[in-house]
Amino acid sequence: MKKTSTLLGTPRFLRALTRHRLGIIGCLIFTLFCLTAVLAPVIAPYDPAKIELRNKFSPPNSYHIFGTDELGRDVFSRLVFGARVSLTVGCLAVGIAVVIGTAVGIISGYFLGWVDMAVQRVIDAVMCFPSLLIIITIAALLEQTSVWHIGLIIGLLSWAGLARLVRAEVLSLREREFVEAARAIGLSPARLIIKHVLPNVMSVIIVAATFGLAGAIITEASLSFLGLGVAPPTPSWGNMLYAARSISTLLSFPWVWLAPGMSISLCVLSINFMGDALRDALDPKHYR
Amino acid sequence: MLIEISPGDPVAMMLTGQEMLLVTASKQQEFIEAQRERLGLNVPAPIRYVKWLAGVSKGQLGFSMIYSEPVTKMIGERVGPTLLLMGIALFISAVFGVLIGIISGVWQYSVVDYVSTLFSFAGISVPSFFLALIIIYLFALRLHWFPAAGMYTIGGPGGLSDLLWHACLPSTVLAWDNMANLVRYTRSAILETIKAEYVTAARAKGLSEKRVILLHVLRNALIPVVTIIGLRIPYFFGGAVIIETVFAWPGLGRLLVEAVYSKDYPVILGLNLIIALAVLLTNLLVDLSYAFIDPRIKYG
Repeated sequence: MKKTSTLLGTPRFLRALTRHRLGIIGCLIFTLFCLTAVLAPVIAPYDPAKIELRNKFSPPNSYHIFGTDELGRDVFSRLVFGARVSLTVGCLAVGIAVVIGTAVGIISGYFLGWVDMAVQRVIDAVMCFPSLLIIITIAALLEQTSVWHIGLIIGLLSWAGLARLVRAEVLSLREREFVEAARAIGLSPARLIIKHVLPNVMSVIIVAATFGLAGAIITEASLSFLGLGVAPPTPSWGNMLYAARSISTLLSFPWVWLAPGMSISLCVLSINFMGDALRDALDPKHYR
Repeated sequence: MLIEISPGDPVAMMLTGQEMLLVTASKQQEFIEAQRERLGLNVPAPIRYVKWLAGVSKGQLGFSMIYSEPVTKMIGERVGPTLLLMGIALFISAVFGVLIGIISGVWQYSVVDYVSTLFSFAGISVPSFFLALIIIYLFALRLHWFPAAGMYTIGGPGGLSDLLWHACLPSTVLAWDNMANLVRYTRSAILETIKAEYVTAARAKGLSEKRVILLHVLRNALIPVVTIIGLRIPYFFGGAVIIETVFAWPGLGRLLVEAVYSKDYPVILGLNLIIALAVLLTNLLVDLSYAFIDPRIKYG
């Protein structure tokens, strides 16, 4: 008996996914970024923290393919290790947001009543305030911000939208026959939620998580760019751009800021393509 | 609705108190004692918070710890430039975003549609600070068409034209990702409306395509778009922080970043409060504007 409406894993889903050409390209590029992050020590030709002042601002050449920065550090090696930071922060933030958002959304949508009322007001409050401002304020309170701090802060502030999506999905699910049937045969709420509700909201969660990953990477980069994110000795794509805030660097040494900026853009673009493909494949209403 | 102001702020202030103790403890003891006496930091954090709240109720936000100026005055000086920047950006993104969205929605799969889809993907993927750097590099440093930073030419004539000339680049960048979002949203709103039965009915009764699109599709599709424009205003504050920092634009966002660098807590707190109020106000206005735009909605 097939009782779930989810498309995940079905041949139709896979076909729709592989037909989305941009999605495939996005997936390939993103896989490349992931591999780079995992294999960073193998790929990077130099130590990303090695300072060589005699060799600063060297333009791209055969030794340093993306040149060197204001302290003579190899830009390419720093980019490779920066991928680690971006993806770690992104995955951590999305992981936290998915767990909290799913739990809150399901509880709110399934039990309704005063729980739902209270949760909805909290979500209203969180969503109406620009999250970047809260993140900046919290980052200001921490003395030293590590990769984990940033991931945690972004995650803890970005679950509200997902909770709202999941709740809307659960609201329509709980009226469906198969949920009613499951309730009628006396399943406990916990079992019912895990066995019957959760698999059906998975598609919403996956799409939202993909776009959330893109957003988290941009937020991390913005924070680090302002000098409030990942602290400088650790290379991050955002804090590599921090150097370009001086006009002379911006004008004379474009490779120092172009390379990390392109990396962020390409990485986020590939994730957005993936998200778009997933959404088209999972949401039949959204068929184009 | 007033409850919505509270999240973040009390917690922030509690943390603030402990943090200030940490920061100051690392410096010279005597100097610190005097400073703390002056700034009132020898009072426990919860009491300070209550005092601050009492001040807020009387319209006072306390004094900056760095400049010893009233926070309200500092914010007051910076509101204008930010509103100007946000106003221009909102105008640019609303006009072009909705226009391009309409074109690519009505003529789906046309060249304009493909190009705009590509651009809106780029718009949500390229971080605004990187775009800002590229634009400064190209249009300010290489081509010298626009100034790279500031609000007025130093030692220049000043005036409105000089101001607008300086506002060109920052407001364009601020408008950018909002525009990309609006294009996508308008496009899908139109695609959805075109499939509605009343549109088929309008076509069936023999109306010209122009009348169908203008009177039946656009009127209905643009109602949610107006909402989205209103609801995205808060994001401009987030964007303003980055754009104002890059372009050295003396607005609220840059004030926040400066205050964060120097750990000037009264200013950080005051700014958060003011921005929260501004966001609530815009949300209220968006809610009320529904009634004007959509005659089906009535507030009893």
